[in-house]
Amino acid sequence: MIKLIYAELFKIASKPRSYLGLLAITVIVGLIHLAMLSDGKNYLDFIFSTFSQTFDISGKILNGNLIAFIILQMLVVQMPLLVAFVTGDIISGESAGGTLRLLAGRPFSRTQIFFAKYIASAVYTAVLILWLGILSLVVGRLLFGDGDMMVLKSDGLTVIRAHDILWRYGIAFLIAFLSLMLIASYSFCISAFADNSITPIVICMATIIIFTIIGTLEIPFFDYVKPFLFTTHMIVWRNIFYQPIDWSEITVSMAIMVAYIVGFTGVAWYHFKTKDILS
Amino acid sequence: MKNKYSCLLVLAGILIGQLTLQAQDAKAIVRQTFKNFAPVLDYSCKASFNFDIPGLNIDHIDGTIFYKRPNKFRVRSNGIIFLPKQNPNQILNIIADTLTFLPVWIGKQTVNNTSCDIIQLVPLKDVDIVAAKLYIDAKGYVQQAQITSKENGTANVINTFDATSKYAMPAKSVISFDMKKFKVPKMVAVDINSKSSTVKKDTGKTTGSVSIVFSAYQFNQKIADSVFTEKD
Repeated sequence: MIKLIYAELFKIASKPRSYLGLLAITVIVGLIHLAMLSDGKNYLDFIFSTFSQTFDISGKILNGNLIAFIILQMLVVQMPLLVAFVTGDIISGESAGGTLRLLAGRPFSRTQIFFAKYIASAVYTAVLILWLGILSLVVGRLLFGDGDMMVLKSDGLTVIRAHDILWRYGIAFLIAFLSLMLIASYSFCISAFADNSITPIVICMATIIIFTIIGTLEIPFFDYVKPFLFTTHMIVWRNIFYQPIDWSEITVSMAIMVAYIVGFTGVAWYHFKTKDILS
Repeated sequence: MKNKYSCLLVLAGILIGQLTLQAQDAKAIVRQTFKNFAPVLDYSCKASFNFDIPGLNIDHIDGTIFYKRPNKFRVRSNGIIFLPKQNPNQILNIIADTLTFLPVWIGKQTVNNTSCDIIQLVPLKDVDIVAAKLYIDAKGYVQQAQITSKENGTANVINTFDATSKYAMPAKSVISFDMKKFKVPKMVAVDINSKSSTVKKDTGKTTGSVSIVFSAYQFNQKIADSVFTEKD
């Protein structure tokens, strides 16, 4: 099994598209850092203008912690696409290339093949999140320094003291990993059904875009729909930065995400185990 | 008819006389207050801030306050602080500005278990502060102040003094102020997937307060101007 996982990881590492995600994160985070270094103060003045009309705000507002938060928020839509780009291709790509039948003929069970691919996808997702964490938080703190973090909500603002931030980021990145694993599982599931690598990626992207648009629309009708959309629960990492932390909401959302992951993976596994591999 | 005009003139005379006396009394009270503070050219002190502001979730924080005449003011701290635009030193600046504000004595009232004269400061020029009411005790300490400005609405400052209070500087100030409920566009806050806001029906008007406990005052240290311009 370990050998299979290594083999799958090697396959991911040997594909140029696997580096596109890392490259995209590097470019996006680099650009945001550059923009914040040159004009971050004006940007934050605009963002917090509602509050500065009433208050004199003193202290180091522009700091690495806030920049990391802004980056995470901005990448809320893009990161799943980067994950789907690789995980959506992991079974269907081999199916399209004709190597899946070859692999199925080897002395490994289909379950072993399936979970080796799944674990390799999880490792890739973890690498993406880790890279994002290093660039946004570690490099951000090196460039902009430490400091209190202002977290904006549509109905208010929370200030988190500097000593109280790092553990929150630790949990936030774990939840973000879970969220991306949900996307990986979803695209993996579609990949198990598809015979070409484009279909799972496009379906996955379309789903995320549609769900995100519904989540953004302030129409009461969608309030009934939103709890059923997995994108609603994927942004629960934000709640870690609210005061007080609503642990029940976080736990429920995490449980729902785990349920989705198990559901998608179960369907994909069952289909992969029973399907006729013709190519 | 002649008697009627005479009566009106007498009444007007009494009224003007009364107002002049009140203004003189008020001036003496304000002068006494300013006299307490007059030796202070600058000061620094430790300050502990507590916030109770609707829509703003912020923990207690400590810092150092610097003040230098006529109106240089700065808070230095390790974290972010939200202070209402009407800072406590604004009162001292108003009192010191005898050319802009006319003090009028309007009554007496007990504040913090201390009998106080109520002094209304009427602006003589077109300035941001449209009205100020000071509650000054027999020692010349400003126990309470209500300041209304065009830009920032009304702020109410309640001061507490203790045995160590020097130069009429408070040991604690609680600043209450009117504010509108914060509303940030969802796209700016990136607050997606939350419920729509059609169920919220409040007026949005509310009151916030910041309490500041002062300690370790140090006066006339010749604080450099650079302290007030240095970056956070």
